[in-house]
Order: sequence, then C-alpha cells, then structure tokens
Amino acid sequence: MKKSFIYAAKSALCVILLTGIFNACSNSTSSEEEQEPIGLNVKLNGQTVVNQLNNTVQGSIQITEGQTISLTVLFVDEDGVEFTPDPDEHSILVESNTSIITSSNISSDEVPFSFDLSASGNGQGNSIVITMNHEGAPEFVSRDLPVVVSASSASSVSK
Amino acid sequence: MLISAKKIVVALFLISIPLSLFGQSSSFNISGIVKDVETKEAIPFAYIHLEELNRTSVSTVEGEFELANIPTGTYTLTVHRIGYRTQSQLIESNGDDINLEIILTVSVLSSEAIEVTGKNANLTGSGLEHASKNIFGSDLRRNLGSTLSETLTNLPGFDQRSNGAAPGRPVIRGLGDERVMILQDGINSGDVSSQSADHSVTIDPVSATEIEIARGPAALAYGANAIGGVINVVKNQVQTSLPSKLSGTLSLNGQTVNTGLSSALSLTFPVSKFAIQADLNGRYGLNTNTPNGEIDNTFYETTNDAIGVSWIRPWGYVGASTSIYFSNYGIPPDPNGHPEGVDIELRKYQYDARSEILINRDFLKVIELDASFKDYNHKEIEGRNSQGNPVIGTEFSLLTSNFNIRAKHNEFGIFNNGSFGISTEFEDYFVEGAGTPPSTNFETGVYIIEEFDVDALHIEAGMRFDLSLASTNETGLFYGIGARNGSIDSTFYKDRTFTALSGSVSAIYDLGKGFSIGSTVLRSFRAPSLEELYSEGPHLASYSFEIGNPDLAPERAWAKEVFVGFQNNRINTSAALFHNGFDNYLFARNTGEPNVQRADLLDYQFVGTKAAIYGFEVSAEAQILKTVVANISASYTLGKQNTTDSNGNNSGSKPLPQIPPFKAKSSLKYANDGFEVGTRFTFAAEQDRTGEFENPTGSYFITDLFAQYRLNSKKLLHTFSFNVNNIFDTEYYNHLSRIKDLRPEPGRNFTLLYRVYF
Repeated sequence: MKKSFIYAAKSALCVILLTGIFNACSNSTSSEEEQEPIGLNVKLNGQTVVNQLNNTVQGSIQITEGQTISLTVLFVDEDGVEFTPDPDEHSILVESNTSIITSSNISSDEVPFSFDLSASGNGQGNSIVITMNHEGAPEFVSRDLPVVVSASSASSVSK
Repeated sequence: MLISAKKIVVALFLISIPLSLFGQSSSFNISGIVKDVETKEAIPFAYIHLEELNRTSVSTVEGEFELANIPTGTYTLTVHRIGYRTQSQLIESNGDDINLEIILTVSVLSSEAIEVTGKNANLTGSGLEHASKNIFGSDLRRNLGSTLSETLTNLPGFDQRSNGAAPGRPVIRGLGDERVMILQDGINSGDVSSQSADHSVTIDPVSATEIEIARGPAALAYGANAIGGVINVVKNQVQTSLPSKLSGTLSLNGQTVNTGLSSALSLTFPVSKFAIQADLNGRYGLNTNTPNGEIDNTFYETTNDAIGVSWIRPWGYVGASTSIYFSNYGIPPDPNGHPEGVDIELRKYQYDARSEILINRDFLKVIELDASFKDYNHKEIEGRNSQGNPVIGTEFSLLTSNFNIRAKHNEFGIFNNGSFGISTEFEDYFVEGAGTPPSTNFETGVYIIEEFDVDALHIEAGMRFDLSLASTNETGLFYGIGARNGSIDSTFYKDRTFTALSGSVSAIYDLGKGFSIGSTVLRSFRAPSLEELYSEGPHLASYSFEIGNPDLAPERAWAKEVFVGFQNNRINTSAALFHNGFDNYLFARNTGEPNVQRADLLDYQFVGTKAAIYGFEVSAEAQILKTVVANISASYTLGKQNTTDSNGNNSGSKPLPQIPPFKAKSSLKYANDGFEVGTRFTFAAEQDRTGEFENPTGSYFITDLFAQYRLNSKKLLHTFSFNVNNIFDTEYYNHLSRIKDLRPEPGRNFTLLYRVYF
C-alpha cells in the first residue's frame, strides 16, 4: 500500500513536470497598440460634409454634374478623436455604386487619404464606400456615403 | 518544438519505468486462426480488436493472429472482416494462454451488425453497447469522402456543416462545433475547426482503420462538453501489438466532381521488439461542379503523413508518433464578404506519445498514459497586393498540449469494469489581423466511469469534475457590440474560471429474444471557448464580424434519450427519442447589423440563451433475401431558443439556426461472393424553421449508386468501390452549408476507390 502511494506520488510529479514542459512552448503574444477606426469624417476644404460614427451616417457629399472636387478623409477612434493612420502602412480605396461618380486617389505625404471625386451626369441614389486598407487588408469599410449630384447650370469645372 | 516532443517521449518513458515494476504479474497470450464457416479456409486480413485494452491485430495470410501480454481478466474480442458478420466473444483467463479458432459467417448485412458469441450468446446487456457505433470495412470504403464529415453524413442523425469542398465538420442530431468532440487515436485533433465554418478538421479519413462514435458515460473520459458525441478516428499510429511481418494497405481514389485524386499508403512492420507504423497520404481536387456550374475557389491540396514507433514489452508498450497535416484550400467568393474568395494555408505539426502499463494487481488492471503537442497555424489570404504578395487577412495560431492518464480496474465489488483518470489540456491561442487578443486556456478534469449488471440490466455510469481557466493579457473596456449598441452592458476583458460537476448514466435492459430497451441521461458542461469570450474581429472566410462576450456563463444541458433495439441474424433495428435541454446555449447570433468598423460584414455576437434540441432517429436493416439487404433510416431534429422581452421576461420561443431538416435514407443492396451493388435514396424535407436572418432551404431527393468487389489472391486482398453520387445531377442545398444562399451542393459524381491489403 505504502509502495503504491509512492509510485502514485511519482506519477503525479511526472504529470506536473509534463504540464510544465508543454506550457514552456507558447505563442508570441506581442502586439502593438494602434488607434482603431470606428468612424470617419469626409472633409471638403476643411469642413466635414459627411461623417459616419457607430454605423450612423450624417450629411452627404454635394457635387454638380461635370464638377470635380477634392476630399480628405480623417478617421475617428473609439474616443471620438480624429486621427490619420500611418500612410506608409495604410491606404484608402474609394468605390462608387454608379458609373456617374468616379474617383481618383490623390493622397500625398502632405495630404494623405485624399481623393478627387467627379460626377459625369446626374441621378438619384449615388453613393461611395471608403475602405481603409492596412498592408493591403481592409481594416475599415464605411457604409454607403451618399453623394448628391445636381444638374449643372454651366459647363464650368471648379477644382 | 522538436525538443519539446523529445521531452514528451523521454518523460513518458521515465514514467513507464517505475510503473512497469507493477507489471510483472500474470498475463496471458491470445492466439488463433480465423476461418470461413463453410469452406473452413483461413481468412486473412481480419481485424482483431480486444476492446477493453484497445489492442489490435490483423490476421496473416494463413489466417493466424496473436495478441500478447494480456493481463488476466475478462475481455471482449471483436473480429471484423469484409464480407463477414462481425463477431464478438468473451475471453476470460486466469493466466493460461488461449488458442482460438474463430469461425466467421458470410454476411451481406452491414459490418455494424454484431454477432455475440461465447458466454453472452443470449445477448445479455453488456454485449449491446448501445452508446457506441463503429464504422469500418466496406461501410467505411463505400462512404469514404474527402472529409471526415462527408464520410459520416450517410449515418442516421449525421449531417455536415460545410463551406466549400474542404472545411466540413460533422453535426450529430443538430449538435455541432464544440458539442461534438473529434479525436484521432483518442487524442484531441488540436485545430480550430469547431470555431468557424471555414476551418477544416485536420484528420484525413482515407487512412482510418475504423471510426468510433461514443455517447453517454463513455464520452466523459474525453470531456463533459461532447453532448452530441465523441468521434474517434482510429489510425493506430502508435501500434499496441507487435506485428509478425510487414502488412498494410494502399489506397487510390478518384472522383469526377472536382477532378479529385487521392492516395494513401499505410505500413506496419516489426523491427526487433519495435512496431513501426507509417502513413503517407495526399489529396488533390479542383473546383467543385454543381448543376449550376462550377463553384469558384473550392480547390484543395492536402497531405497528412505520420510515422510512429512503439516498443512492445511484457509489461506493456511505450511509443511515440509524429505527423504533419498541410492543406491549402479555397473558400468560395461571396459578394457580401469577399468577392474574390479566400485562400487558406493550413499547417499542423503533431507529436504524440503514449504508453500502456499492465498492472493487473488486486485492483488495477492497466494504466494508460498519453501526451500530445500540436502546433497549428492557418493563414487566410485575401488576394494579392500590387507587388503580387499574398495579403493575409487573418492568421490563427493554436498550440495545444494534452496529457491524459487513465487507469482501468479489474472486477471490483458490483462493478464488472471501470476506469478513472485525469485529462488536461492547455491551449495558447493567437489571432493576428483581428481584434481578438492573445489568450490561453487551461482545462483539467478528473473522471470515473463504471459498469455493472443486475441480471439482464446493464448499467454504465460516469462522473466528471472539470476546472477551466481562460485568461487574456488584454485589459480595459471590451469594445464589443454590446458596448456600442446596448445589447449587453459594456464590459471589460477579464480572466474567467469555471468549475463544474457532470455526469451520465446509461441503462440497457435485455428483454430477451434480441429485444432491448434503454435510456441515457447526461448532465453536460461546456466552458465558453476563448473565441466565444474574447473574439472581436472580421472573419471574411465566414462572412462575419465575430464578437465575443467576456461575461458569458458556461453552457450546461440535460441530455435525455430513450431507445429500443432489436437484433437477430437477419434484422438489426433501433429507434431513439432524444431531448437536449440547454440552460445556456452558446452560439454566434447573427444580429443583422453591419459592423461599425467593417460595414461590409454583419455582426455575429456570441450569446447564451435557454434552448432545446430534440427529435427522433430510427434505423432498420433487414436481409430480405439471401443476397439482398434493405436499409432504411430517418431522423428529425427540432431546435428552439427562448426569447425574452425588453424586461428580460420569457416571451416565447423561436427556431435555432443551422438545424438540419427531416431526413430519410434508404438503400437496397445485392451482395454475393465478394460482389455487391446497390442504390441509395436520400430525401430531405424543406427546412423553414430558420433562425434570425437565416434563409430556408427546399426539399430534395437524390439517388446514389454503389458497387463493390473484392478479390482474394494468395497474399493480397483487393477491393474496388465504385459510386455514383447524385446520379440525376439534382440541384439541392444543404441547410448547414454556409454558402447555401449562393451555391448548391455538388452535382453528379463518379468515384472509384481501389484498396489493396497486403
């Protein structure tokens, strides 16, 4: 009986040792803290024309047929603070739901996360979706941001 | 990592030395010959299984077999052989060697039919083993699919959760994910297949010797969460007996639905007192065809290779094995999630060690130890960047360590058999590309399972105590959906500890003349998984943004089942009614709301709710003529969850999502002299009892054809299996498919499997 107890104790010790061996191997757990976007503000000449926060979209982008406007995106973090992600690792992609609206990325070191938006005709229900990519993978995808296109009264193009 | 595996083996060996000092008591050998009842000729390649000790052997070309060093006692020896009725018989010895002449009867019934001989010729309760089901031989070859779930899906009550061709997972009676435990040679598979529909099970069925399914008390040895059941794929990568010479199988398989090819080689051979087991297999398939055309990005290429060595001694054995599972596969595109589809690159390295020490003193019969370490990683690749490099959306890494010790005892008091033990598991989980923080989980459980008979009543009872510790380094506010939308209160990341006592009782009463009746009750416990507690991130491959809940309570349930059965030489029937009542059913609820960070994905929030999953299952197989067998089965499962009003009061119920529809299957088989041919029909009803934001699926009726032929040569046994699945190229939708709204199931598929036993 006593002998059995000693062997049982030895076995228990081995169990503990084995558990220790296993636990010695572990995944890397380092992670960098980064501001996470939960919304965005789209600005025209420094003024917010449309914003999204917690899934709610307010405002719209106003554009006239034949016009091209330059817009800048600032993202909003959990605390409601605007921020600009590191442009070396992040980029934006602007997609339109119609062929009337076209965009081109004009981001630069001075003005990151900027794009031109052009309207080649007028129509209802136009919108764009802005995606922020982090090293190629989407990190933030906006809801449909409305674009209101009004018919041109003159053929002038402003920029 | 290799060092760690080496340490495991050394540690097990060190444990074995003191324990082996016990093992010098009386033991005996079983040897014998397997013969055909009519011709009296020797039968080669019969699979011999000593169930209580899990010892296996294969009969030689001369029909001979041997199992050495069996501790004195009473055992069940089961012999399976293609084309013959499976036979079980009781073996009892006080130390004298036993020589058997096992006579097998040719049978056209499925290999599940079991003839019990010897002392239990009148089918006493202990021979019925309702809680277990085994699939092997011709049944396994006929149903062999490219995944484990596809292989099992023709069984009554079985369905498969799928998402394209590669990532399938079995669902039993409407219960899946963490509620069905998947093991290989008794060890957790160490993957993340239970988490999400796009994650595949890392066990290839092609090299399986048999597949065991356990429910009730027997499942408590592995955990208290397997309310649906435990599926154990037996590959015997660490051999338990010393083979007399080289033996093995070579399998070649092809199918047309995706131009799929697979091959597998399994070898077992002795080197002195060592038994070597080697498995090599590869699988390849292009996009799957359906009646509506090809499903993009459903390719797969997989290899699962292993080598094991065991040292067979008079005191037992000690052995180790290592294996790799590499798989690249595609998840089909979804316009709402990832229009181009997602490619998954999966790698798993596994190191196992196990030992069995024969004690056979007054109380203890045998001690089994096993240790396992798995290093799992998969990357979800969401296209290529402008430089052509893969863009990794999410990367999952999981390190899993298991250590189990189990003791089996001799007859003791009223107990015929029994076992008790400890199982431990440590998981280190890391996800990159999502907000889910690194986290760890430690689980340990102690259990006892006992069996006894009271006249014709056989009772099996088990009890298990679990301790589970989940922790994360993350602190601060958990910005889950609840923190923003108010569906739950804002909460904080936190470590969680769960403890619980679980138990199960199964009683089977032999009514005589082949009739039996029984019942099983299980009180289950499942601690929330790390993903359910802490996940917060996009999961493009499953088209969702998954959000955990650090405050989740554990899932507990009462599972009840009553069943009746009848068996004789021509008929094998069973029927069961089951009800699983959950106090807190955990699942990812589709909120229908776009995520605040990823408006292109819907939020799936892990929640707990009162729920019930219940239904019935019937099956019957009958030999209607000497060479003709008919089989019919049906299963129906209902799932509902309680709903509450804004004050938290019960306001009724609504269906649970992902519950399979009513299904009926039937088959007719002609079998004669090594040849069999038949047809199988499957009917599934419309499923309109759907969860929130889940679409219904229509009814369908599909027809399959199958044929098998076996050819015995002097030293080889050749088998050919030819199937035509979905012969009429019917368009149908699996309700448990994640892509059921977009794409149908595979169309007509011709498959050919050649396997040679040598």
